[in-house]
Amino acid sequence: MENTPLETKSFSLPLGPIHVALEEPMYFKLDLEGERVKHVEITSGHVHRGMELLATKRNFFQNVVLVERVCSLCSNSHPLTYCLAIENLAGIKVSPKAQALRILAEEIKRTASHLFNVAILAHVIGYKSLFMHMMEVREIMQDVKETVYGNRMDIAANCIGGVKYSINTELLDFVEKSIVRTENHIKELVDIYASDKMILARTKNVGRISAEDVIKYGLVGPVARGSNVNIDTRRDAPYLIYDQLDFDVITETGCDVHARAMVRLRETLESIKIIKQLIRNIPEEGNLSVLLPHIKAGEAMARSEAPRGELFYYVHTDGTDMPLRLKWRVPSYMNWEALEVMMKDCEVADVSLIVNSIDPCVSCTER
Amino acid sequence: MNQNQNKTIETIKETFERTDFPNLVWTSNHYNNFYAWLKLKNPADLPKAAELLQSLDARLCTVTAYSEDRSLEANRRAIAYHFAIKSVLFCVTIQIYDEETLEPLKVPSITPYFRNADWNEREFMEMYDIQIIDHPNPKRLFLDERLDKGIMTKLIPFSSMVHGTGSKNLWEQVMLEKIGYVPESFKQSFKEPAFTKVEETKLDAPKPQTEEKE
Repeated sequence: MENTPLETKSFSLPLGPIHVALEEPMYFKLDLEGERVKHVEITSGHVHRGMELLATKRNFFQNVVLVERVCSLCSNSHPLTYCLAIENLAGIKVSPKAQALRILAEEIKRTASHLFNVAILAHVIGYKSLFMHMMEVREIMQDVKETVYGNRMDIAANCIGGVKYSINTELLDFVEKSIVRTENHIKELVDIYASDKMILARTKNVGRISAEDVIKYGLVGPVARGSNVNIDTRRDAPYLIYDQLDFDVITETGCDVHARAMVRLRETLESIKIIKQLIRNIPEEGNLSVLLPHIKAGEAMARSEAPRGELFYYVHTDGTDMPLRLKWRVPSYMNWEALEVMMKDCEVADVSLIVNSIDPCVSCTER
Repeated sequence: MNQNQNKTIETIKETFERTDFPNLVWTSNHYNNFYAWLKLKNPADLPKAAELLQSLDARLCTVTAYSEDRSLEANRRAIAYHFAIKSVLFCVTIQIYDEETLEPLKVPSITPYFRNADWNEREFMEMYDIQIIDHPNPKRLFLDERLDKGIMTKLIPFSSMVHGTGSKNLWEQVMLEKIGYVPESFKQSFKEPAFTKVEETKLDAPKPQTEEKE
């Protein structure tokens, strides 16, 4: 019997808002020709909560708690960057000990966040055993957070002028043992993701975005670095004591889903390198925090490298104890918009894989 | 300040000194990060500033619209455009009201210069009801079309938001305790909707017939 080709038809496919890749609402209207995506229309706003307006009704202290609840995966980066903005405005100097402790929290969170995203990649392509294994590896870092900070996601490490926690030798030993365990597993995972035929077949040359488009759309974080755009706020505009630490900025040249996953995996090893340096060098002396001075009228900006890329905060004050305006912009804001480039001409079956490759944070983006 | 940072700052200063906007204000923080601040009074100057920043390979970080005072009815709105030029953050702020009449002014789109301004401009159009000139895609971003423009400038009581007829008594009690009476305007805004009464279940309803299996 002769094979007759199926007639190709154009049609629209609504996708979402539930469970496109993560349990966060994203809604796409895909224009298809057969199995191929020709145009993407993004509809957002399902979890818009007006949090920025809420922030102007709370005082500077209360907002530390509020911004930690913007989302859970980058829940440490939000209060950190908010505090950096307030400290820039008020000229508050944070002790080296508190700076080191802030970085410790950031890098622990980054490791767990990256492992989660790359695990979801395995889940999306149906590699369930790898997914379960990665979640077990990530669980080591979750245990670290729970043991050191008392919570698995919102760890409440930061306050204006410093940190809310200290760490003793016993806990540092536990952290060290845990990251050594994690490191060994991650090295194995890097090899698997770099060579496994099934992973390569599903992720190579999928969801491509060129370096030119990365720059045009203002993309940041592992999405930019996966297209060989070498930017990282920790190195480019150092804050805290990052300039005293030895770490590499990871880039890949593949410009695709695979490259972005490899950047994240290899970055976890750099985070572990940073944590190792901190464990040996956290100053014993030094204030954890300072008294909050009067916050004068003015404006300030701050940014940090969150797991998904540059996180930006702007605060405008009028001399009262509440901000006149507090604005934050998360990396997913631009990365999400660029999905229209990454999805162009992709197979419809790859859409959720591409969505996951930007490590989207919808709660953060919509606020 | 390291050599690269010094070079970036010098380039920015030289670029702006030769233009209509020479008055940059510079600040820094304890980590030796530098910030440049430029205030514009006329929104028509924005494209010129955007063109200059584009020539410096600036990246648009985000855009913040805000009211210059806290009152919700305030017409004194401004927009802060935040750029990154390597290690330096650069903020361009424009007033978008007439100083004498307080009438709002329209703002030119910078999306032709910075592609990622698209979402930012759409966001403040819907949140603050700011008029943008020549936006390539002026659709709603986050909020549904049925919601009013300028939602971030309005106080919407929770009870109104949730059509809180069920909590009417609660709010009346709160008002009685706080101010001693319930304002007429409050009573008027919460009229009980006309519900259709649900019929009672008939207890003597016939049992569903089932097929007997052999």
